[in-house]
Amino acid sequence: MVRQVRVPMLVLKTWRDILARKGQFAALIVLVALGITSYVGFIDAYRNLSAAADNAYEALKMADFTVSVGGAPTGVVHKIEVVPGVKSVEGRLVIDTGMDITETNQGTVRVIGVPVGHRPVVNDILVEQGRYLTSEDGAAGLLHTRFARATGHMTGGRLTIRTGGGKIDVPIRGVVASAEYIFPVRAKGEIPAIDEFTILYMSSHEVERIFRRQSQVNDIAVIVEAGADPKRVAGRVEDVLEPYTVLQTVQRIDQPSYAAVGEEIKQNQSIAAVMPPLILAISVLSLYIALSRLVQSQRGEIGLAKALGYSNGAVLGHYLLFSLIIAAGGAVLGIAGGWALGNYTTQMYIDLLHIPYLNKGIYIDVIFSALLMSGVACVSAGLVPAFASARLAPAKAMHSDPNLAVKGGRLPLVEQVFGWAMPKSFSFRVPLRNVFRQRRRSLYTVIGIAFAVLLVFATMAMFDSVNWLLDDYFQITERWDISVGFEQPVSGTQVREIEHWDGVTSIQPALAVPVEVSTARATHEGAVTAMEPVATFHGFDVLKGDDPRTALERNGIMIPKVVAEKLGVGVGDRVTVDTPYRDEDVTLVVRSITNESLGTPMYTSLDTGAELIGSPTRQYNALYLGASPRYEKALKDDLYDLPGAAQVMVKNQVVAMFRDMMSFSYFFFGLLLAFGFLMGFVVIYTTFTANVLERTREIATMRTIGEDTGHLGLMVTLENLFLALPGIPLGLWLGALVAQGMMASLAGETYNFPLVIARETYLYVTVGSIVVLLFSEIPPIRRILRLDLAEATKIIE
Amino acid sequence: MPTPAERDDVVVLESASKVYRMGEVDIPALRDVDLRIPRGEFVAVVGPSGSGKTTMLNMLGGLDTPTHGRIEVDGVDITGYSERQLTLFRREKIGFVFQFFNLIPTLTAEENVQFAIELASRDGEPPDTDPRHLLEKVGLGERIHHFPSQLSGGEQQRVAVARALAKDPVLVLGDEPTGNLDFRTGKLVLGALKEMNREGKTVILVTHNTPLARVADRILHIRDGQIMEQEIVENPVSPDEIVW
Repeated sequence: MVRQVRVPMLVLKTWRDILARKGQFAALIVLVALGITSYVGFIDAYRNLSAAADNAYEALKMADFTVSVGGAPTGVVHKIEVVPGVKSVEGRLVIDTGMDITETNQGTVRVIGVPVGHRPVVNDILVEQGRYLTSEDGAAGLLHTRFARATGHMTGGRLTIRTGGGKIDVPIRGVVASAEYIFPVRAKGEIPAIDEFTILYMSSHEVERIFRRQSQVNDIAVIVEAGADPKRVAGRVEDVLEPYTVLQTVQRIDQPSYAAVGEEIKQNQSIAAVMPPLILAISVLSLYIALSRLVQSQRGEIGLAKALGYSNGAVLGHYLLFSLIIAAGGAVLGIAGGWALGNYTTQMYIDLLHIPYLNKGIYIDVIFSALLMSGVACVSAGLVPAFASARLAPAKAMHSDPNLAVKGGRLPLVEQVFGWAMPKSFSFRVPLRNVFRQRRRSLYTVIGIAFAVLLVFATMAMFDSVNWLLDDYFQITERWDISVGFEQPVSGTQVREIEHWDGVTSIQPALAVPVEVSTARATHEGAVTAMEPVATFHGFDVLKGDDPRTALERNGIMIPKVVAEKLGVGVGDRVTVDTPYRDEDVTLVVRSITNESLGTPMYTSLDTGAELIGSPTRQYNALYLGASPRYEKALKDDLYDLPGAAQVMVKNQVVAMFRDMMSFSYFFFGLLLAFGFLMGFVVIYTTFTANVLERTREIATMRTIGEDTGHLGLMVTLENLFLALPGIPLGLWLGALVAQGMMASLAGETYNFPLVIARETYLYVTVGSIVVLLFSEIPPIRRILRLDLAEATKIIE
Repeated sequence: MPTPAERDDVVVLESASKVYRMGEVDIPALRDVDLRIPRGEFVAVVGPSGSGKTTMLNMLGGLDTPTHGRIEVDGVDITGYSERQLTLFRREKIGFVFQFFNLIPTLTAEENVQFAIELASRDGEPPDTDPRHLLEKVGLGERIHHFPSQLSGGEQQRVAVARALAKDPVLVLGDEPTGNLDFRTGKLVLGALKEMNREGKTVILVTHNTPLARVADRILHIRDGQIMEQEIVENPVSPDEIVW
């Protein structure tokens, strides 16, 4: 015998009510799904990235710190192996030199020596294509995956590198990834120049031979014992290396790639922390509006259900079921969408950044927390209307809703005060009064609009700031066209020669010195650029202290605000500067505190620069050139041909690379904008559908007595604009605050650029919001047009 | 008796039919109705529920269109009118009084009346009517600044009558205007309609309440979508005399 399953009547009613309002419920489910998608998507992405980075650091034995020296015998490694706290050591030669990417395009390659008898015990590499080096390979190499894929230098190809006196062709045996170059950058805050800079691993013996550094290492990579303090161990290692001129010690946290990956994870975390609560808050408001309207419109049915004997609990459950269905629908869609978004983002990391060990994970705890978030948000939105339904007395419920009437018999305050100045037309006054008719609903709609605008505006503000960096920073702050760095000093004669090259419009020499700047409170590792007081290649934004010329003439140091705060110094305070070139420290006075958007560059005079490297005369190892655009390429090639030229940067190419890199971020900007506009649409659509449903008879009456649909549409638009009037400025203000907060959370030694909001952005966001508002009116206006006037004028509201 | 050509008929229905299609079934609501109503007449339409009286009223008011036949109001054939034309027609020619008053809740009594005047003024000269005067006429001179929620049902319906008059319509249509009122206030509203008629307006009142129809000059008895009987009331009663 087949047992018939009977669906409880109230459950059946819930289902039919949803079908009758499928547009509204679908919109609410989409809104909740957006919140959950953003949560799951961004968390998945940063967890995938974080897990990949952790895996890479672990599997490829990333160093806890590295120490650069001028040059030490290979045997020093054995001395370091026995330093307390040291677990593994790898001594390597790390040399930056030029390379010919194509016949006409040059770049910088970092050549790193690796053992061929065994794999490196620290800073190992992952062979993605080809094979690891053997002793038979001679001067062959393994090339970093990102450069190899970007330029087509794959296994079997060759790469031409400069060796001081000449060039050699290095056969490529494999394409590799590395934990210390997940992001292939040379310094913290540097923009990855994917097709300009790469890493080439070669047999350590070959590197020694080619660069004439027999039996030498200049880079010591160390992994410490579990529980050991890397800083203390580094101190002991530095003591051992003292005779070989310690140039720089870099802890893992300051390692350029490690820091860049950390920044990327931090950005994803910031979005994951801001976006979902924002969207879910809007969902709660919209759901509250829709369910309140549902309860109001079903007062008669609630009264009847109670009269028939349904308990308060059953009625409460019935209306909470709507919330739960939306929560479930939103969660399922959102988790699926979030998983897809997380996967897409991860795939972009794989395709664009070639991050090793990157997998698309499914995180059960994220799924559970998404379900919980969706449930809590929707149920909390439905609780008030559901309790209101349960509290209704049957007899009272069957009467029309007194809330629909205008209470108190007063005009809205705004009309009482400013009515004299307002248009007398009812096409203006009716919508204005409607706004104050359901004050709570209007308030929530205003908040909803504000949140949607917030999301769009904050995104656009971040976008503006990045564009400012690209368009203004590189013009106002970085005033050179080509920069070149040398591994060895350049003579004044050379500088004067270059000045006369075709295409060179100006030349300003400088000296870059790696330093440790210390106070009693902290130490900051970085570089000081020594320059002429009249030099103009770098534009300063001085926050406190002397203007640049005075500061440099007074032989002080100019430091960025981030460093000043870290060191706890102000203008006039003294800092100790330690360089690898002299035994004793130099004390300098802080003359100015500056605002620097990228990195933490410090500046001093050329005389002080000479003092820092222990030279009695001025020295130069960097040149900043002004150049005619059509000569830039030729100049770059010629500069690379100079002895000791390690890195030549053409600003236009740097900006282009930055734009390329930003294309990854544009996806997120686009996504956030789409979310914002969609949210705005749903908020207005939900509110206005509720309003139109509630005022069906009223609207039908207006049409019956002769109001045309054009004027009714105008009234709907005006009512929405009255809600948008406070909503849009509030959203702009909140958006600026959120953008400021996000910028502050991202600010550090790498990026510290200001929040710059273009004036047009205010206009675009306002106009865009109004356009979305007009679009979201279309469904409710269509409902007005389709009204059966004869029927609708008889509806009991 | 004037010939049809001499008569000033405000309403002319010729073989007007209305068929509603419900799924697979055709439901005739009005069958070949012929009707002429001269200007200034007060006509009551009575009949049981579903007889077609409201359908006829809706077609006369431009809220519905006939499936067959022809409708002429104030000398204009509205049979093939578009939605836009019907809107203008309603705006200019018709005053409605609904069962549920249907006032705009955000507007005061005076503004509800003024709203209709504003509509009528949109495409031409404003009607020479003063909302205050109209409200005074229906006995609401002291309540002009009250919102509908502050008025009783009878008061609301009298505002609705004033609103219907505001645009100086050629035809006033009342669909059960006393159906939602008690006896006393119902009579007040009926009195207002009667007064309107005395001033020359053509009034058509739909009701299922036969005694109330005795205030009219003519009573149309409708059943099954057809006018079964037309009864001329020799001595229409005053609303005060009605008992129901």
